This record gives sequence, structure tokens and C-alpha cells, in this order.
Amino acid sequence: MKLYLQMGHGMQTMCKDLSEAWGGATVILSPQNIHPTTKLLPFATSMRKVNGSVLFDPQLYAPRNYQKNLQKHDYWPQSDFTSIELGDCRELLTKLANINATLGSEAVILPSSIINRIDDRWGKIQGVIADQARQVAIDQRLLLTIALGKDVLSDDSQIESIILYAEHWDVNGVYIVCEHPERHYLVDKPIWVANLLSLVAGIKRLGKEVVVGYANHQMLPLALAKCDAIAAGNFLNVRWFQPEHFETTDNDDPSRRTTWYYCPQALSEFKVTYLDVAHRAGILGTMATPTQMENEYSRVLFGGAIPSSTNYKEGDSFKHYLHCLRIQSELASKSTYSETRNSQFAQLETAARILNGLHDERIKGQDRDFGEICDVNEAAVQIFDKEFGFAMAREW
Amino acid sequence: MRDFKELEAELSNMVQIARGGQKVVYSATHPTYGSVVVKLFFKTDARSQREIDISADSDFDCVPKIHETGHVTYIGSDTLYVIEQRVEGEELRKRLDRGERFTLKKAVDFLEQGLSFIKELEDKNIVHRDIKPENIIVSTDSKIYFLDFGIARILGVPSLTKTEALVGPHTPGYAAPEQFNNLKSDIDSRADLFSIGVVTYECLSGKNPFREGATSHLDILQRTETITPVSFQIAGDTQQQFMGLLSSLMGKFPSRRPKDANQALNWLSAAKSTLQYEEAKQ
Repeated sequence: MKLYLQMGHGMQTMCKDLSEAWGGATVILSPQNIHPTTKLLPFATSMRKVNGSVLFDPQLYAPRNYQKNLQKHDYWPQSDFTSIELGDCRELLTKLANINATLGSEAVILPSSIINRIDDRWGKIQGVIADQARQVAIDQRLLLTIALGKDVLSDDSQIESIILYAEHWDVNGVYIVCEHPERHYLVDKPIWVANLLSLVAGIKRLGKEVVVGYANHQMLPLALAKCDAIAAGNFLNVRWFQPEHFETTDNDDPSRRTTWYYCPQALSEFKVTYLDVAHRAGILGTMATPTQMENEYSRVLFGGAIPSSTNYKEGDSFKHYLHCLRIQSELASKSTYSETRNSQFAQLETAARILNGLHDERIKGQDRDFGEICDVNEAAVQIFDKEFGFAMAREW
Repeated sequence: MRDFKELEAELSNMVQIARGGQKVVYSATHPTYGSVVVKLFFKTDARSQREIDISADSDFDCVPKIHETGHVTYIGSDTLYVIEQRVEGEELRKRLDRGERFTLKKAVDFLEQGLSFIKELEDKNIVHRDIKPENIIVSTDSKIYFLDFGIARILGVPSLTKTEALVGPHTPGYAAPEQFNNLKSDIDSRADLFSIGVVTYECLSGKNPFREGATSHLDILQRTETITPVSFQIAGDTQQQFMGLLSSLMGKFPSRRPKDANQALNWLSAAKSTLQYEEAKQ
């Protein structure tokens, strides 16, 4: 499973740096963060110079909402939203196909509105968008967006409906974004996670590509569903899908920023001040980045000095997270289904054991601590294994 | 139109073996066809006609052959009759009711025949929709025959069931959820894969996993949508591959089942290499 970079605020230089360091990376461009449309090409060109490639997410999740940056794009609709929401959007799709052709995108991400309940109308609209896109983007690979509101993934019958509709869409793959339930960064509902696995596996079994956007390390089990790629970025708003992110409101409070360290073996992030606690307790080594993920961005934290006194900055934190997640994503896919499943369980058990030790010293990751989430993901993998395991193992 | 008595006169050893609301069925000996079954349909509705058409037009290996169809006057009414091959054997339901349980080898053989039949149906765009022990005859040489295309669906032709009907035609405990929920666009051969999985499971365990303990028809449907049949150890299924395949066939959603009968047959073929038949011990 690959890691794509989900572009967020302040990520342009970071994307180029990471692509250079990794020998190539795919970035999902965010029109909200690069505007107007004419500025997209210079960035795409500069990505290509560092062996990178791009996808373009039109972010038409809620076209009626006012979003000051998205409005600056030529393709953004100024009227007749109803037609677009009902799939009658040939003109829009033509513009998007042209933008993607200019950028040299790997595929065209087709727009879709967020849906809170799957019904026949939605299935038909998705089909109409796919059909129209096939006519205007004849030679391009198409990824149809599936944008799910928070309740959809709680109901496995709705997931099955999506899979059955997807059978009939003439596209190469899908781009899934899903709102989390109860507004938590890490999802504490095993069924929700299991249903996301089912959705990905069901669509993969149709022979279509699947990219899950706005993801984070909790989505590593998606390797078990043969997911092609997950996409993550720097700030949390590009690591989980939040619909309000695509609307400009008067009360956009500036967020309080803290520098975090992602401990990949514990699947948890910690404020650097908690690394100081570990340093004092003599267990900082437990949190050090494993050799295979070691990197220049976080090395300074484990050089002997008090972590918070080092030059570890927010940008390093983001790059470290994405560097580790990229390696974890690639390592998550094994040569057989059972190896992949066993490695997921092993990873979760290891994380739980390490976190127990850290919690004993009162070192916790607050809302980014994976302690309770280990059980959630274990249960989700178990459910998935029972429901899809035999088929996935045969088709691996 | 000739009278039923004339037809009767051509036949010998005629014995009524079943009578329902739609038809009466006799066993008999025909001078040309030999051992036959004669069916008289009280009402020649579209469904009966489709059943006959499917059986007559399709040369299925495991469906009794139709020798002759026509109309006779039966109790004063124009009545459709069908003379078809009589399979020497016994209804699977009767064998199960007597407490017979399949060995692993027998279950594998049964499933293989069933999947091959579904593959033949797929080739003709037909979904049987009523695979159950009552519609299966096990012949004296262990070959299985499938009966009753009464609620079969030919994909791509107008449905005989009302689209707005809340519940589609089905037998509770054997029909897949998408079938009884009348989700017509979702119906394909995977509904038959579900049913053959349930029947095979019942042949091994003696229990229908959705009917067992159910209090009503609706209860069975709810169980079919919610219960995952218990996986149990079958002697000789060393790596649980056969049980894994049955569980996959019985997946509550089509997306969790094999994509088609051919894939299921391939999976069965792969599972067979892990099985150890211990007939003497079973």
C-alpha cells in the first residue's frame, strides 16, 4: 500500500522535499491551498522535477458552501448548483479534464457531493458523472469520488449498496473520503473501521483501484483490503475528513499549535514535552524511531539532550510523521493475506505493550494516543477477517 | 384437444406423487420415454410457462429432461401438461429428515455438482432462486438433480415479480438477503451460491443455520440478515478450507461471496488439496 501526500496548508515545499528524499511521491493537490488555477501548473512542474506526480482533488464536496479560496478557481461553479449536484455537469467535467491534462495528472478525480445516506438517487448520480466524464476525458484514467458523511460507515448494508453501485460505474477506481463519527481524530468504533475495510475490499474485488484520502495511521489495516494508497498530510485537517474544512466561516478560530512526535511502534503521537518526561524517566529509548524508519527530521530528539530543548520544529514533526507512515504503509502489505493479517495483529499488540509501559510512567498522547484504539483496530481486523478473509486470501 | 384420459391410457403404473395449489404430479411409465413424471398445471400462468420454457430450452446436465408438453382437458378445463424424465432417487429433504449427514467427501462432491449447475445457469443468464433440499433429488448413483424453476429469474427479461413488492419470491432459510428483500438489480448468480452454501452446510451439520431456533418466517429472514453461521470442525478439513468456502458462500452480502460459480469452483478445487477423506472413520 502506498502513501500519497494529501496537500494541506503550507505543504508545497514539504511535498517537494519529501519527493526528493523518497525518490518520488504522489501529491493530491488541494485547490483550497493553491489558487488561482494558474498556480497549479508551476507546482505540478516542480513536483515532476523531483520525480513526483500529482492528482487533483476538485474539492466539490459541498459546492453551495462559500469557501473563499475555492471560489477563485475557474472551474468552481458560480450558479446552477442543483444541476451539478444531480450529476448534470458536463461543462464542469470538461474543465476538470482540461486542468488534469495540463497538469499531467495520473488520473482525473471526479467530483462528488458528501452524502449522508446511500440511496438509488445517489447511485444513479454517481453513474451519470462517470458516464459524462468518460465522454469528455476519453483517454484519462478516472477515479470517482465517494464522499461519505459520518453515519454511512456505521451501516454495513449501505456499504454493500455502494459496492453494488460501483460495479456499474465505468471508472478505473475510486477516491474515498469519509467523515469520522463523533468528531474524533482516531475512530473508536470497530464497526466503522471494519466497514471501511469492507468498502475498500468490495471495490477492490471489482478490479478497481482504491485511494483513501484524508487518512492517518489508523488506516494501516486497509492494506488487508488491498487498498492501493492512503493519503495523509501535515495538519490533522488533512489526516481526517472534516466537511467544514471546505467552508469559510466568520468564526474560524486560529488553532493552537503544538509540536508532536509520532512514535511509529506505539502508533501514537506525543507532545514533545512528554518526551521530556520519558527522558527524565530513562525510557526515551523506548520511543526512539526504529532503525528502518530513522530519519533526519527526528534524530535530534534522541541525541541525549532534553527533547524540548532541541531544534525539533513543527515542520520536522510533519515530515517525520509522513516519512514513518510511508514506510509503515509499504510494510503493511505482505506477500499473502494471512501474513498481512498477522503483521497487523503483531503491530497492534506491540503498540499496546509499549503504550502500557509508557502509560505506567504517565506518558500519554492525549487525543492522539492509540491505547484504546489498538483494541478497536484489532476488533475491526477480526471482523473483516471473518467476513472477507477467505475471499481475500484466495484472490491475494 | 384430447382428454386427459387419452393421455392416461398411453401411460402405465400411474401414481399420484404430489398435489399442490398449482399442479398435480404423477409418476408413470411411458411406452417411448420409459420412467417419467407427468405434471398437470391447473393454471397456465406466466410463471409456469417460464418454468417449462427454461427446462425445455436448456439442456442442463442435472435437470430432468422434458420429453413432451401439450394441453389436455382435465376435469373440464384446458390444462397444460408436461412429461419429463423421472430420476430414480430420493428427495434430499427426505434423506436429511431421516438424519442422514454427509461425509466430507460426499459434501465436496455435492457442492461441486451444485456449483457446476450454477455455472451452467450463469451461462444462460438464469438465476434459479429456489435451491433447497426439497428441490434436489439425489439419484441412486449419487448424482444430484435440480427441480422447480418456478421462481427462476432470467436476467435481462422483464421480471414476473412486482417491483414494488416488499418481499421477493423466496424460501426462508435458503434465500439470500438481496433476494427476499426484492433488490432486483442486485440479484445474480451469487444468490444461488448463497443457497447452495446453506444446503451443503445443512447436509454436513443437519441444521439450517437460519431456521434453527427461529420462531417465525420473519424471524428466519432477520436471522439470515444478521447471523453468521457457526464454523465447525469437519473431520478431514485439515485447514478449515472447506468450511471457509462454505462461510464465504453464505456471506450475507454478495460482495463477500465468490464473484461467480467459476470462481467458487476454483476455490473448491484449491481447498480439495488440503482435505483428507477418512471415510472409514465417519
